[in-house]
Amino acid sequence: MIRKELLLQRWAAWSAISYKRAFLIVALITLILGIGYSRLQLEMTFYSMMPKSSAAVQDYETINEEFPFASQIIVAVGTDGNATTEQVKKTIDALQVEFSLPEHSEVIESVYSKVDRDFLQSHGLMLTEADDLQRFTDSYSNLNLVPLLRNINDEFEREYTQDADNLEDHEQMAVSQFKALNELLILVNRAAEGNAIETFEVKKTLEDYLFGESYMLSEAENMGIMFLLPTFTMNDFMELERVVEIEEIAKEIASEQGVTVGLTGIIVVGKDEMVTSEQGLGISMVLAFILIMVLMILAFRMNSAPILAGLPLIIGIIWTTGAAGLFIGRLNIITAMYLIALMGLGIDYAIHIFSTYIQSRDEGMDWLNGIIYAYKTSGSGIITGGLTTAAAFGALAFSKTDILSELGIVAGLGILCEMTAMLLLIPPLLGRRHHRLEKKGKPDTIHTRKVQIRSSLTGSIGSFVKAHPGTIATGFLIIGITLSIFAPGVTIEDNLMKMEAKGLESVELQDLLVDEFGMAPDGMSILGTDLAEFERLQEELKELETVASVDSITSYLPSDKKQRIRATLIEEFREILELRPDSAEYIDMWELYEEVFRLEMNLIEMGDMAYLGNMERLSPVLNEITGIDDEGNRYRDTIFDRLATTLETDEANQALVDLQRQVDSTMALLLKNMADPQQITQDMLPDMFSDTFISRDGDKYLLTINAKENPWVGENREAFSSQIQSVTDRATGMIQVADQLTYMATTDGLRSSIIALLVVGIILLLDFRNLKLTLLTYIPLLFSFGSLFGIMALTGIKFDFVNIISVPLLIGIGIDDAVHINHRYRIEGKGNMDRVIAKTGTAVLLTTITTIIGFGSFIPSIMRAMRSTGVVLSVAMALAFIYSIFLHPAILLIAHERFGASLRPWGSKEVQK
Amino acid sequence: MRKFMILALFLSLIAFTVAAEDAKTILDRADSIFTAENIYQESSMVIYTKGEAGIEQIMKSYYLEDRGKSLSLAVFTAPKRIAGTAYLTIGEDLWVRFASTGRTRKLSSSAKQNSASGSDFSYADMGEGNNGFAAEYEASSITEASIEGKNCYKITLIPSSEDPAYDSAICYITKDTYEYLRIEMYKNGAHIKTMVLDDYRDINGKLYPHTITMYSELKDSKTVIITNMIEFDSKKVQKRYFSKSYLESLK
Repeated sequence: MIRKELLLQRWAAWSAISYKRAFLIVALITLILGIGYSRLQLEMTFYSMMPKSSAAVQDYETINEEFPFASQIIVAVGTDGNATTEQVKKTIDALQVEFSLPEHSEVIESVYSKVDRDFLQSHGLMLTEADDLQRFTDSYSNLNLVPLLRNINDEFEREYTQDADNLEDHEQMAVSQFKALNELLILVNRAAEGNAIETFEVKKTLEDYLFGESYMLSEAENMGIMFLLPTFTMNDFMELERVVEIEEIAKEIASEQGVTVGLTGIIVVGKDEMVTSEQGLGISMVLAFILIMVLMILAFRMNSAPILAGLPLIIGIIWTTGAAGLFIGRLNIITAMYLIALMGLGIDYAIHIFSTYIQSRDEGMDWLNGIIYAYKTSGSGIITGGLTTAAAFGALAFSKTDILSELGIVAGLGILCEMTAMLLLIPPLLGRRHHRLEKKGKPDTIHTRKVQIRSSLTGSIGSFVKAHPGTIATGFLIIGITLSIFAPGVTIEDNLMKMEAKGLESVELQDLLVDEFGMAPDGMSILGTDLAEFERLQEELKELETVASVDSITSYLPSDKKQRIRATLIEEFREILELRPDSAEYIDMWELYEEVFRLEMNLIEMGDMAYLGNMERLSPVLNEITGIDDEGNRYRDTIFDRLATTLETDEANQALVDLQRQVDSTMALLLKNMADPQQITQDMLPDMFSDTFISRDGDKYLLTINAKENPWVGENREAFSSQIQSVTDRATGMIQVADQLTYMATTDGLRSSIIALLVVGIILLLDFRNLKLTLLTYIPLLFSFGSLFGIMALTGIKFDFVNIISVPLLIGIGIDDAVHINHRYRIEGKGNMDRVIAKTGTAVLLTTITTIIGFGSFIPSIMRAMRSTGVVLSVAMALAFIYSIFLHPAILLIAHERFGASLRPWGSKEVQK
Repeated sequence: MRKFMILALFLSLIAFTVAAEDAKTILDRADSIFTAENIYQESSMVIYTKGEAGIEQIMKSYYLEDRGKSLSLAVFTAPKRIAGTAYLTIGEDLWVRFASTGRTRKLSSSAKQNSASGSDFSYADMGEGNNGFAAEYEASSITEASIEGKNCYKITLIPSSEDPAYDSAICYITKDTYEYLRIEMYKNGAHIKTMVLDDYRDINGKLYPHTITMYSELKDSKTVIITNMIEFDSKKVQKRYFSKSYLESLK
């Protein structure tokens, strides 16, 4: 101990005189740690904090790395809901053209804006289940108008009017089919009126009927989505910023079309996390530094405080950053936040040194002896305190979770770096200051200054506590216990998106996509190599109530066995198609009228079901086609009304017969194309499918599961995950991984808190060498936590995986105040609790304020996780201060002075003062 | 030791059998509220999606137990668009008659599990309500719980029939009055719906829940059925109503 004090005094004396050399040493250390700084990566996304040891995370990383579509950027066009369908389609086309340009190839690998109709037109029947193929054969065995409409009616009655859920499940396809049918009836009507119909009109109508809409449009068709596949993945943190340039281009093009556009997808959310967390950290750092410097100027009445204390503070941060680079290689959101909180902790060392230095100057010492005295009296305590805090923080390095162990390392290193920077730099800075003042012939103003924080407040508290220890202890125990009763009500934020900045477009779009497209963009995936297993899983998963869609390569590349069975049925269908009755020159007008009327009835009934089922997309379409409003009133003439007149004839005119021939030949051609019995092979798949479902090396496959409701919402996710878990335990995805992160942060946070309590206990026991005093010191800390959790439960502040892992740190920091009081009480002795609080209260208040400034600087952050951390930690520090300054002295006084509990160290005799 | 274990096993089996019988008695008592030779009911149904109320659907329902077969006929009287539309259930068969077209069609066999009129109830939920909720299930465990301050039996149900609507259900029945308070339905590993029965009123000595709310646990949606009038063993219910020909004759 003596050697340590001597060493400190020697450093203080030498460095204050030889300040240039001391600066050089500091610069050298900074340079060495600069190597670490150059290695440091800023990984400011939640994704970067995922527990790497988890199998789900490893699978998820593989998926991101090897499947291009996993990194999809979803471009939503018409996000304000004011665009017309035409505007949306035009904008999507313009974006497709722009992002396909070679100049974007460095950033964008592929652009997908439409369903690949060519593939469906060629292989549609090979993708159809055998049972459905049989029905398909029956439906299209005769392509004359009457049998065609009859078969369509049969199909509707079988599929839809018997089962409203089928209608809801196939709402999008049904909308396209009904619109196309309406178009076909318009052609029939025009022909019945004697007008010639162009073949291209027939072709377009029949294509729309068979293949549906190729754009990916919302239910109201005023919004559309397309996908951009970037050249980077979620694992390339440094590339995420490039999303900004994609966003800017998309917004510019959309604005030219008078349409709003927004981007989402895991990469975009990641980019937004980086931007908002960096913004938040920047604001917090500036705010914390300014407030701390203002406090230093006010407290010590020193205008030079920003240099004398601020410079070592910043150097300490730089060293910590460099050390983090050397030991870990990266900073994540939590460790970066800690660096800012570190300012509030590191400045405490400067407060201790300056307080003693100014005290020595007040006592008449010259500046050099003042520094030496300050180091002699405070230096050893600073080092002991710093090492114990660093050890308590460092204990977290042995946590199971990467984020917690990284926090432990950075926090421990941070304390050591700040302490070292303060001890090394303050004497040379004071020496330089004195040298400059001397050179300018100015007096040293510090000589006349005193610490100006008034001690009358803490003095009054001290007198009050001394006079009414019982009342105070009872009062605070009641408050603490009452608040602690509510503590079990504190909840954990289960929606990762609620930890992001409020109003973040990429997050809000997730809800919008659920509302408009009936499907959440973030789902789950299964990685595998066995396509037969995927087929089985797909069948089982699509039956689940929470699942909107299940897709895998088997949807587009059926198994050989299935393809063989289907090929036989397709051959039969081709034969039937070839042998179908010729296009008749005769049309039975009465039968045609019957089928049109039957179609109208079917559409009205489906309209009723869509109205009752609140199918927002289908209901208005059917109302429009049938001319029936929501009240059930006919509000307009429809194509059926016109056909009722035009078809009321005994004999079809030539135009109608011609139309029948056109429909027959065009439909036959389309069906023939679809009925390709050739086996589909992997190389025939459109890029969109292979990018989505086949890994880059072609060895692995992906099965994707989309949820009906937004799975980021806790209860939706729980139901979605539970149902998937009932089928397979191999599904992964950002939602699954985020759950694991929260779970591990919670369990590891709890375990680390226990470890921190034990480490702190051991340190306190070694320091006080008294079990009773050690146990009593825990009381304010435990009450602080109980009250904090109670306040959180009452105010609705939730734990999340960012603020929960800071709890172990609070143990190391929050116990400090009571420790200072213990030390002073031992010095002042029985009957002097008022002096204890008066003497220590000021310093404790000052250091508490700086710590609160460090944590509180997160509160203005736009990222909600940072804000909640700021609130939770600031409240915790304030509570620790209040319980330490009121409850702890009262309990000490009662225990020691009323009940005679000994607080002296083992092996020593109590000295009455 | 071995003897002791056998004895313990035997005693626990007896205890379980006794508990299971108790559960059955409790369920039977709770179900007895809903069972009658016939029931006539006038009710309204509102679907709330994301907190917003949809159209109020008003219907008249007729129930009859005939030779072990459950028969029901529900006729919508409002809103105007579907007034006159009716659903007829005879055992497992379900027909719908559309007032807008006057046509009647038989729904597919799986339709009973589907949403009834776009609500959070399935046709099966509605039917089970008038057979007793546990008619298709048996108790697998019984414990106690408190719901809204009321002491309840918490009974876990597992299906006793083939092709059940749910994999399991947990129902809460008050200890003093044997009223169902809440039934949680589970399927494929997830809690998918919760039915809450409320506003019990005395009808001819039977306490009947006049408000039944089905909450979807999978989306932000609930459906509230309010009974405006109910008659047990009503003269309004006639056997001839439960035929396809009567359904087709509805105006």
